[in-house]
Amino acid sequence: MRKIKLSQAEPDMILAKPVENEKGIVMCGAGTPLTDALIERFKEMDLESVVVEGDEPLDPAKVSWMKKLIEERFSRAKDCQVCEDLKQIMFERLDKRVG
Amino acid sequence: MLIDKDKFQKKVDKLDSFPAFHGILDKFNEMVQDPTISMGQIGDLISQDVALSMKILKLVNSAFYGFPGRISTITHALVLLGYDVVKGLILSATVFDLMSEKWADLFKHSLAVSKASGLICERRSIPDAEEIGLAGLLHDIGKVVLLVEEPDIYQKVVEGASKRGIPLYMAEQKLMGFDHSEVAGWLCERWHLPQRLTMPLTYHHRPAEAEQAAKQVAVVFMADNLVKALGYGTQPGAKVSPVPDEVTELLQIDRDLLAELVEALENELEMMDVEA
Repeated sequence: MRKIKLSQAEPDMILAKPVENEKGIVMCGAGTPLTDALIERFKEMDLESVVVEGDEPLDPAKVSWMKKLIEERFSRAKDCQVCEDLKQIMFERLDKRVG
Repeated sequence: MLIDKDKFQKKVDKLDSFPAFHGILDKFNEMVQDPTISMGQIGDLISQDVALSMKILKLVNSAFYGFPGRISTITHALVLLGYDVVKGLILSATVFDLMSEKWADLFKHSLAVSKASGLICERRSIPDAEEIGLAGLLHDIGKVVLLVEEPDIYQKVVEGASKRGIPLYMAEQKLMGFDHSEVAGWLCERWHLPQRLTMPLTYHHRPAEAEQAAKQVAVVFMADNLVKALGYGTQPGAKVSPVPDEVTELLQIDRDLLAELVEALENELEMMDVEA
């Protein structure tokens, strides 16, 4: 999940956290797909941000930079199979986020 | 050596200046040992300190302890979590004030390690997840004491470690002759904490050496390692440690477990950031 500004919200994004009004009453539950009408209504409520499902897509340059940081963090654990597995899992997750 | 180990240990033994020792902890210890005093009376003692009670209830009710939004009084917390966990919470509440003010990243890191400890316990059906989560929360408490008691010197040690890209505990050993996990051990003794909490705090960098509570130590070591791998609230020089075979066996670590933990932990941490 990620928190985005309301101006970045688009139809079909899924709410990961409920939207509440200023009194704390839930206006829209988690799991609701956004529509133009809903986004309009949130704007009228002066809502600044929403939390939506899914990770932020990353560009390939950012992914390779992040991988380099991870490599650095694992630099003292080169002979450890568990650490090697952990690193590969993190790399695979990053690869899936290339948008 | 930048800090004299014996002198510092003596200082820790007599840490009256440390905010955690405004008397309530010693009184709590005394009352727990007195069979004529009820849990309700102990609850009342803590409740007299309104600010402290609020902090404890906030910690208890955060998702860390698995009872979100359900514990409204200190006595209720005592019944559900037991004396040792509440004792640890009294410490956390006071120490965390200091931590969030002076070292926000360490605070984030500690919360994350607590979360990760809970996730490992859940995946491997390890009992007493609350207590192990608390050990995760407190594992770096020695750093806070060092920062409060020797701010100038310790700041230099921390900066030195970051600059040279080496783990902080190694820099501490090199420059001070002891590290923050030993300080945590001294504190645990001073506070009469049970071995189940003392061991993970003392051995979170060398889990294979722990003579007792091996499982608790293994969980906190691995939780700390996972959070370091994700780079959450950690020092620039922080490094993932090789996992000793003992830990791999005790927790039955395999690729599936790691994948599940990374996914669950990333979600939890995102949630924390979103709520922050």
